[in-house]
Amino acid sequence: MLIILGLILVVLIVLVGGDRGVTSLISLIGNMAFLSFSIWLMAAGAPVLLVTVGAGVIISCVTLFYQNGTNAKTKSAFVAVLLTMIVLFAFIYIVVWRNGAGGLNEIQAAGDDVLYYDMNLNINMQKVATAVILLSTLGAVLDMALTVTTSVHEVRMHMPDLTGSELMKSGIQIGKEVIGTTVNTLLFAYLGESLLLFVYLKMHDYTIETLLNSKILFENCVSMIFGALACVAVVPVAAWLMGNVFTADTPIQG
Amino acid sequence: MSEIKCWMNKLVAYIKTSKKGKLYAVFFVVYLLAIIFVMNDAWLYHTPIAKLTKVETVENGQNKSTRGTPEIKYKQTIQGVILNGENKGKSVGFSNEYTYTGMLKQKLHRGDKVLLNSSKSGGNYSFRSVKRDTTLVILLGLFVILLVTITGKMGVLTILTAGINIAIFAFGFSKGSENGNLVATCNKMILFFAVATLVGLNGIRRKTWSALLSTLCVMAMIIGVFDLVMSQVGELDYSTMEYLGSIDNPDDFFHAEILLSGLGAIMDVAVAISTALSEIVTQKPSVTFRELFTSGREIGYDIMGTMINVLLFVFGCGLIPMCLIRMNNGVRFVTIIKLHIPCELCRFFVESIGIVLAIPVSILIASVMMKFTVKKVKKTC
Repeated sequence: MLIILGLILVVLIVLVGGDRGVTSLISLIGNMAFLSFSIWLMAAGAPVLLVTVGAGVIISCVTLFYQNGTNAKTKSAFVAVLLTMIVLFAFIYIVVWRNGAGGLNEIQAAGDDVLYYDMNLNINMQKVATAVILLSTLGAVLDMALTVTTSVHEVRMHMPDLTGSELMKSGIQIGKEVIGTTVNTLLFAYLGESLLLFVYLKMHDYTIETLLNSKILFENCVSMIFGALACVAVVPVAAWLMGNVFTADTPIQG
Repeated sequence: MSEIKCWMNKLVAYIKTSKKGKLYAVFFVVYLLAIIFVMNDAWLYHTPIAKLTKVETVENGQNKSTRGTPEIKYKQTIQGVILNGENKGKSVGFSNEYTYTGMLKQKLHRGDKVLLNSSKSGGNYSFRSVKRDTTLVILLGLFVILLVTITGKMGVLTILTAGINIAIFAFGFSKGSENGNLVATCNKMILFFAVATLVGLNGIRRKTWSALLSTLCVMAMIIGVFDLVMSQVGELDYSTMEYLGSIDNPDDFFHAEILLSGLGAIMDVAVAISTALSEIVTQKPSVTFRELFTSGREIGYDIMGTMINVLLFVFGCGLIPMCLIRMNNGVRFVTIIKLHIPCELCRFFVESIGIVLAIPVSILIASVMMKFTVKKVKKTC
């Protein structure tokens, strides 16, 4: 079942995407491999936050530099993502730590896992929760940063006389156009994830006050809000970097 | 000090002179009021809420962790003051035990507000959960302000659309669970979601309809592909689905889940392509079909990989805690993939197929709708 669906996906990507489809397929598989590897490292007891940072950097490198080549566009996107993520990292950690958002949520804690498995992992689940939120936003943020830098690059090629701040403005303008649909993509991805959850809550007669303060809702909402927040925050950073910092090494013919 | 004053004066002057500034000031005040409100909303709750005034943490022995390393256990002795209900102002004491892993219970901090369980006879309280609504409001507000500041009108539209979608979800959900047929409602809801999002973000224009049509076509196609594969290869084992509980029709449910979580990404692709193609047609009305197709493909290449990546991270990272527990309990990674997450993996594959399919489908529909005159458009609508 899974193998067949996977095969259909691979064939479609190659058919629709051609050569570049193959490139994105390889980087997709690479990302999956790195994600699995970092899960494996965490499970083996490596420091969670360090693994997260490492995985984040490597995955960004694969997505940007392998998939899209090493140039001013990808370099500034990389730096923008890095800066945004560092700020968010601290922020997410504080939020998770203050609200005890790690570990199993109420439903999972009532499930069978607790009976079957030993929960003394000696891995701090608060840190794992931070890692989960941070890494799950990464895909969307990379997408956003690259969109902005690519279009600033296009604008500069067409109008080479624009100043840095004018370029930055046009970058933000483009970000505006894209952000609506990106926020919606995230919203629906999480709504789909939590569909079953809502049914479960309905069946078990959760009161609204318990629901509002529950770990389940908190996990989903916080992931979604931070994802969207990161996407919004990365736009001006990427536009600024592209307009003012990574200007010298732009090849004229792209 | 004088610097702050000078800065404040400047800010006040800005707020007074600029219309935008006034708007932001109003926003900010509403935001602050909202935060202050949720910080003090204990009176709205029926559940007793306590503010922790004193927390003492001591190490309380060790367990052996699954990897053989020591796992420290902690015990907290906690005192707090009840903030609502008939026992308001009374101080309470309870204890909280947690381990380093913190899988089921976490550390509490001084100043935290917590929800308590109270025993029927009164007097005895135990910890239920941390009060998290304040953080939710703070984050939500921060996001709204940042979005509106950076993207202006588009940000307002985005928030409105998201709000409408959530309202549709809530309404459809309560209706659906009333008459017990949630899945049928869900399918209708998806249509409403698509219309609301596309019209909300792009207005009533030709490209909106072409994006809508492509989205619905792709939705139908991925369900077709999924059902076809299922009927050929055999049923998926739904017993591994998360939060399964006591749902009697997991099959329908899974369909609804696939459609809903893929919807955003598929709409994204459809909008990107139809916007770009309509732009080209407006700029150069004489463009040929073939040229439109080529530029559409070009755009498609760019978004395909990144969109699948976005879904991959949302899906993959959600599995991390579950994987960690199992792998530390002697379940091998391969076994997890084979036996514990086939549903999630299957959903991811189907959605990715949807994203890839959305590219040729939206190119085709957009080019047809853009190239032919208004008459034709009316027909297709």
